[in-house]
Amino acid sequence: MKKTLLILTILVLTFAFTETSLAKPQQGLGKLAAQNKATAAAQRQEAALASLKQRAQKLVDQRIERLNKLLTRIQNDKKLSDADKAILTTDVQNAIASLSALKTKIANDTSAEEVRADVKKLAQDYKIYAVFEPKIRLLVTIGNLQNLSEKVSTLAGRLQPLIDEEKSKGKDVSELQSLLNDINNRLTDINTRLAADKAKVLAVSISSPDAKTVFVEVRKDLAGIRAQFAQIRHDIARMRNAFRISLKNATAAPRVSPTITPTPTP
Amino acid sequence: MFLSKYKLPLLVVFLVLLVAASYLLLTQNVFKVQPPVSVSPSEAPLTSQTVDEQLGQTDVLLNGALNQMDIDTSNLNQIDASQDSITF
Repeated sequence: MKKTLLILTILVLTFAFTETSLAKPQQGLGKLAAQNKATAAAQRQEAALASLKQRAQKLVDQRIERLNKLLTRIQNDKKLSDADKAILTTDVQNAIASLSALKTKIANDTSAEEVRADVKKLAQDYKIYAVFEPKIRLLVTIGNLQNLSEKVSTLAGRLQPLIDEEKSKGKDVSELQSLLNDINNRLTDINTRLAADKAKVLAVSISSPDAKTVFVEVRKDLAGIRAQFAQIRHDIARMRNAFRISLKNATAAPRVSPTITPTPTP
Repeated sequence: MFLSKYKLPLLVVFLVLLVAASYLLLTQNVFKVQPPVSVSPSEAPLTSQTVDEQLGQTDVLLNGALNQMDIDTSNLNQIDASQDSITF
């Protein structure tokens, strides 16, 4: 009886020991698998963050590239006044610097939420495509047209004394005077409109809700100003012709009527 | 007698005049030789001989400026404002 009890006890203990020793490695394997799973998840998250950052930085780079092209356009412009050039250059350079800082911030972001917030900022606070670039380009165009108007005005101012001189010689200058008056009237209109357009565009900011409407209005007006300049060009071509005829008549005049006494010139 | 009596006031007046004269000479560039004023062709009075050339140059200027304006307009048309509506 005692022997049987002893044998049974040994058997029970042996079984219990075997069970315990077999269970231990299984528990270790489970833990390892869980650890591996966590590592893989972390790696996936890290890769996703890196991909998100890359996409965000690409968006910033595209904008910086556009602004650099815009900067070259401004710096190569020989018609813009120095003051306009300096203001526009500073504006673009500041935007580039700010975007570069945002790019660095994105590189240092530690979560997808941070990257998404920065991209949202890129769209809302910069509006390079919707506001900034159109604004600068319109200001460049307006500056160029103001410079053109100034040059044509200078010429118009120099034409008047010549027409007066021709008139004093007894020539018919009615066509020339009419053309010059037309040029002067158009220039007055152009200058008023350009000044108003410039003020409108300058008033547009990134947060302006009506930026698109202003740009459409100004562009429509600039198309009208272009037509005015085209008409001035037409007037100039007619003036050239009128002056040529006048000059031809002046040289031919003595042969046609040699008896006419020439007007003494002072 | 007169000189010895008013020696000091005369000296003061003389010094004041000297300082004033020096100031004027320095600030008004009295001794500075002014360069001859050159008149560029675009500022010289127009004559019946030069008017055709000047009008021709202005025509070229207008043509160039209007062409540049067309290029700028084309560049403006190419800006795609919808790129600022980023979905991320």
